[in-house]
Amino acid sequence: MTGVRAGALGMALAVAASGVQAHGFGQRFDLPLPLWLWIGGAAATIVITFVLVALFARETALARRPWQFDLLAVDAVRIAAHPFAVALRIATALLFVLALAAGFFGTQDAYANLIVVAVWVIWWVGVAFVCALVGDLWDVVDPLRAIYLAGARVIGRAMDTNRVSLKRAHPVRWSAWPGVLLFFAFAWAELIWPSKDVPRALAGAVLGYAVLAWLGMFMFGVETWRRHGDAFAIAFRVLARFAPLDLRSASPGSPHRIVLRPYGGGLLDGAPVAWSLVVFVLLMLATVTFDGFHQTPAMQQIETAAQTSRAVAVVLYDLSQWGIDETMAVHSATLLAFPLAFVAAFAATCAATVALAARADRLQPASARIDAVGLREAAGWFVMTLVPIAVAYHLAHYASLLLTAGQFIVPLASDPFGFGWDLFGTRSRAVDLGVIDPYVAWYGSVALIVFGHVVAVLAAHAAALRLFGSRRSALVSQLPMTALMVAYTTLSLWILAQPIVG
Amino acid sequence: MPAFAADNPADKRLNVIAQATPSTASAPTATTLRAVSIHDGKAEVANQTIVVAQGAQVELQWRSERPIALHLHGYDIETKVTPPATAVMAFTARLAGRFPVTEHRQDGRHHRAVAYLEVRP
Repeated sequence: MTGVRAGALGMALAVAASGVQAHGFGQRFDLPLPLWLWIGGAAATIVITFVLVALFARETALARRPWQFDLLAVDAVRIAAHPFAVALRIATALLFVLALAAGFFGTQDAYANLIVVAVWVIWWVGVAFVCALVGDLWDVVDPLRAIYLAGARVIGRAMDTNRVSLKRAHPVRWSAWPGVLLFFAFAWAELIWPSKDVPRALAGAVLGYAVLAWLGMFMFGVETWRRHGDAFAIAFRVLARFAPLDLRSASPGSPHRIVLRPYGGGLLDGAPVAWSLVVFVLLMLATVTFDGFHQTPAMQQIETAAQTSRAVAVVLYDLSQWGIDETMAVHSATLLAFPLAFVAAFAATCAATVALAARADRLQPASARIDAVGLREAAGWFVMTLVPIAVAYHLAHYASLLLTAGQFIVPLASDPFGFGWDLFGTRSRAVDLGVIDPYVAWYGSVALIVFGHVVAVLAAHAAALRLFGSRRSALVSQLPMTALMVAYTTLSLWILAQPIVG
Repeated sequence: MPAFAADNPADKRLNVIAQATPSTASAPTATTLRAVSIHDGKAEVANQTIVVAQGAQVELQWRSERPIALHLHGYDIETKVTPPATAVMAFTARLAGRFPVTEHRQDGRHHRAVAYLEVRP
């Protein structure tokens, strides 16, 4: 081909290719679990659960708090921790600003712009992985807090004051509900918003959230906002309860914390948790489950059913007159239904748990009886024990994405804006979509989910022992919760066995 | 003639492991042939899924009533069906997984998959 012709063809291919690539990360999906593997996994789950329950009849070790080891007692850790944390924090803040800039000023092709991979893969999937498997990384590196405090101190110095916020009292009644609402909005954006991979729109949403967070920090104080309003600080903190490292960065009134503990060792800290946090956790679990569910053929069947039902079709038509796409409406309604169903199922299970414990307790001699446990208290104790199942499913569902789409960070590091730069020479680095062997993905997923289930059952039994005291009460009361966990684990396995169609 | 995105030097980001081979050549070893008709934006195969074995020489023959531009993700192979002609995607199925085949449209918003290619180990 002559030079001019090659150039023209190259341009045409570039336009075609870049248009084609702006879909999002649907390059490759995992193969669905074969039938025998998911049924086998579910059966193994049930068998292991029965074995554990039988063992519990004699085991009291679970009633004791899990072992801990304070790593700050080790000199090397104590010296290196703070500088290391600061370095990570600065790097994260810079990456945050860079990604925003790339989103606003860079190419609008989703695969060529840093912000799309940075937000949906590196941050939402990657940081979640680290928080669940290592420790609460977000508490160390949160760029919104870092940027706010840096800015507030600079302004404070100029205004000759030490204060960094108005420190208005956060209304107790609000509790963590603002966080719940924000997380639901985020879940909608992640799963349903059509523009989530459009760089400028994504950058706008991120900046909007940052401004809201800074306003919250200004009004109520940084730590109060991060405890009650910041959806992501709360979410990552929930995941980090599963992790072996209890990490907390210093804030006014509490020092650094780096404590080693077993997996799941943090699930019962601070129990019972507030009702708003119970709902937050259930919302998180429901969102993670819906993430898998909305890509299955079952979701398409719901869409079809909605469109063929006369009443629903009328509502959908009215909504479409207002510019709301019908598929979006059905998905949004299902997204709302999932957490409501989870809350209902969990509340029913807790009610049954409390009733069974009370009945078993009544059979005890008077000296061994304990005070009646209310539904709220039970919910506040048991909700975190479901987290390991969600963590395991999240890892199984996303590991492949992290390892394949995550590779894009290498060429993107050299060309974050998509302008044709090549800062590190990695711009043409190939991405290997075959990095995960399907068998490894299958067996790994099932093993992970069964492991998560085991941790959950053990944690629930520990909670029951601490809550209900006597071993007999604890054992009998566990039946509803164990059944709920088996059902949840089976649902997770079922989703992994479905072909991805969405 | 199937276009091959990685041929374009300006767009080397997604290098493809599989190679596109000329459609008219008859392969010396047995080729997995799949003839797929597209009706109303959907491929007429069971569960919209085309199943092939990993490592096989695959030849997908696409037929459609109206002109449609197709993109096989993962392998990053594009082709355009102009009826009544059949468009062909020929490649070695080196990558295992479930790959969407989507319609490439200018407006680019909702890309419902036309079909899925499942490469099983």
